[in-house]
Amino acid sequence: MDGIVLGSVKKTFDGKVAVNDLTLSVPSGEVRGLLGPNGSGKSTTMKMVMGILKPDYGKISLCGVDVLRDPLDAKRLVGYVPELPYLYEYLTASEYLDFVGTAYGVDLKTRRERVVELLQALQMDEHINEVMSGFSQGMKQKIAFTAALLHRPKVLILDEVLNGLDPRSARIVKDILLRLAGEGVSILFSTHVLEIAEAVCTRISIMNEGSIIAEGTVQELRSKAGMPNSTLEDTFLKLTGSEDTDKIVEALKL
Amino acid sequence: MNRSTVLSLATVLFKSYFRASRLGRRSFFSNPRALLAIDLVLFAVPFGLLAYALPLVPANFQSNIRSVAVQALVVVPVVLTGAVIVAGVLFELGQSSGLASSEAVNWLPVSPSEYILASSISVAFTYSPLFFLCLGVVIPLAVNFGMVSAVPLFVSVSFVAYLWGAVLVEALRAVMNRISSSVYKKSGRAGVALRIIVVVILLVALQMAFNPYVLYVALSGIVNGISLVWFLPMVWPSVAIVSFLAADAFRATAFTLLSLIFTLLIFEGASRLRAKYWSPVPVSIAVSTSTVYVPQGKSLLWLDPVAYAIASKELRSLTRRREMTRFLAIPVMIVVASLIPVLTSGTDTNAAARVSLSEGVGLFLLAEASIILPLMLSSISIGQEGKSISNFYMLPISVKELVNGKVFLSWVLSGVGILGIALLMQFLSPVAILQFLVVLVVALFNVLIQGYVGLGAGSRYPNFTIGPRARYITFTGFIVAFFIGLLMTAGTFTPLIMHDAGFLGTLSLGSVGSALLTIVLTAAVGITFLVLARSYCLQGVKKLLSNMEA
Repeated sequence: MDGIVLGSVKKTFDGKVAVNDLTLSVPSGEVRGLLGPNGSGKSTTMKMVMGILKPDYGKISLCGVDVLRDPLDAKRLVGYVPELPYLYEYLTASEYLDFVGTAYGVDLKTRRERVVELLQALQMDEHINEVMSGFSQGMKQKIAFTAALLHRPKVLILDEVLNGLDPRSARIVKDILLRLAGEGVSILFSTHVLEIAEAVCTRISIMNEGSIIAEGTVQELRSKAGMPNSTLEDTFLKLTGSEDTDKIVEALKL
Repeated sequence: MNRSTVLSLATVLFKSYFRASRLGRRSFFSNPRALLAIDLVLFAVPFGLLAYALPLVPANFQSNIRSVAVQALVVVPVVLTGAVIVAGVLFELGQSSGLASSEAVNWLPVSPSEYILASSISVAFTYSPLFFLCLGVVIPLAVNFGMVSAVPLFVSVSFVAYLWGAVLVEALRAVMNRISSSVYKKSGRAGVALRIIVVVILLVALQMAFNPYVLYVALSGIVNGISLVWFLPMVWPSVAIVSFLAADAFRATAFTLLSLIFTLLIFEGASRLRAKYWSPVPVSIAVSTSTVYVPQGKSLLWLDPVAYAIASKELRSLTRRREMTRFLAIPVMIVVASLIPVLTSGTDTNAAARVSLSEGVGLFLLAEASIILPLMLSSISIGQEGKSISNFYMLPISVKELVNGKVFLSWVLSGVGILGIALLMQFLSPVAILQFLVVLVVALFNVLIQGYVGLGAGSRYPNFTIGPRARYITFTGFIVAFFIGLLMTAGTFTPLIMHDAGFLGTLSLGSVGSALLTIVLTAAVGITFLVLARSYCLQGVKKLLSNMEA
């Protein structure tokens, strides 16, 4: 069964189309990269998958559970790391993880095991009883990532999850994602760092102006762009019609 | 010091101050020119009115008004310094600790003295209506009573005293920032508790200071004792005026010069404090020295673990966030404000009148507290989430769990507050125990209703803006909540008022029967309102959670 399914989903904000007739499915065990320029609709799509935003029309389901009809059941299946994790900064890391763990119904024993192993892996265990207001962006990101994995989700929605992480932690997160995919977790993963997308994602969907303009493995995308030996960056720029960067930089009077 | 840097920074600080505060957001107040126009009006209107009216005052009142004029000339400089410090400190207390670190000025090439001067100008300009209002009142008084020659000195030293307030606020900000950082880092939970106590005491003291009765006593003391405390810099501008009025030119000149020198000294001091103590990076507060994770998950009374976790989070928000602490002071302020008339009526020799006043105040105070406390706490509980509200959209939390968790804290804190007020009033002015219990039950019933009303309005009209003086509910939401809350309070208290007014006594039920009937009627009305209020609340929260604002 597909982990994530979107069928003809549309979302507008004050008449402006953010996501247009989007159809997407991510099977179990796949890491799907969602790439696109700023404002292309990636975060809106992810928020709709999470049930945070209601689409104007269309269907969204997670492991067969209709997100619009059974939002609570759907949320129990998902772990989500937003682009900017708005944690409760006046709580300590342990208090926040307790809050999230309680909401997901994770028992105390499992919670203890999961929190300890994840925070140790991300080198955050020393900060467990500190109030998060003093945390750096990377530290907050690690807590958000830990919170998303607490309940062993079947689906992961990760919006720029590697933002602010140090190289070691970024590597660990990438390895965790690959292992989770191997265990059958469906992962929707957005990033602007194309090397990371190339390294982590099974398939990639490129969005522009609210629609998916290309989809496939990295090699398939290169072929579609007619650039079989190019980098993913060049492929991406070609497909999104923004390959004129050289001229722009030359025109600058720096 | 670069003058253009100072002026442009002062303009930026002024605009950010006003646009960050609820008063000036997107309003014409955020324009410096608009404030200048207000200054002009606040000066011209009282000036014109007093200049016209004072000569018409009957001769037998003239001597009284003359003494008021002298007092005003002497007291205004001290009041101006104090008022600017109070306003500045309150603004600082209402500001989220995260905001300070994001000020771009921290990484721009601006020297501490340039910043202090710019920020002082900004603060001075922000509160300038107060300065001009004082001038508009005092100058015509002085002119009318033949003290024209004192006006230039009065204006000059008042301006100097006014600037002191602005500069001292800057010094206090730097010191407060460092002290709070150090205290929290070292003391964790104890530091948080200490902050709550300090803020509550400070706000209550400020409220006392602006009580007309207390203010009158204090100002009279200042005028009479100004010569005795001449060595305190704060009163030097006033001593200069007193000396001038006493035709002591040497003393007047000396204290005016001392005031100017003191201005330079505190400016230099504030600049050094900023250079030394300004630490823009928020500190990590460890609430425990342990680095071991011990998972927590409890349930309490009818609260399931999720609702309990939400209630715990609410309590931590209220106690740990600097901008939220002021809400804890409000119950104390309500009690103090209501008790001042009782406590200051000590000169009333009529004991019966005093008891009657206490009883009236007691009932009013309980009704007032049973609406304000729960309504305030629950109506802000959604908006105070800020952008973290996204957690409720991400996590599998049901509407009922959210409502139960959110309303619980407002019920408990308000219930404790009501109980405290009732016991205090019973101590000050004892009534029959049955009457005490009936009043208490009605007030507690109202607390349950108002908790739902506040949360219902807060979820329909949330204001998620986090910043100085954020109020967490829109103005419309506040009016709606207050209107519904007032109607339901009136309904819930009606049987009690009928009982106290003797209407139920006409039914010949005796005191116990009458009290029981009051409870039954209150329960009937209260349960009806409780069901309605819960439904209003659940629908509001359900609508809120159905779709997050982009």
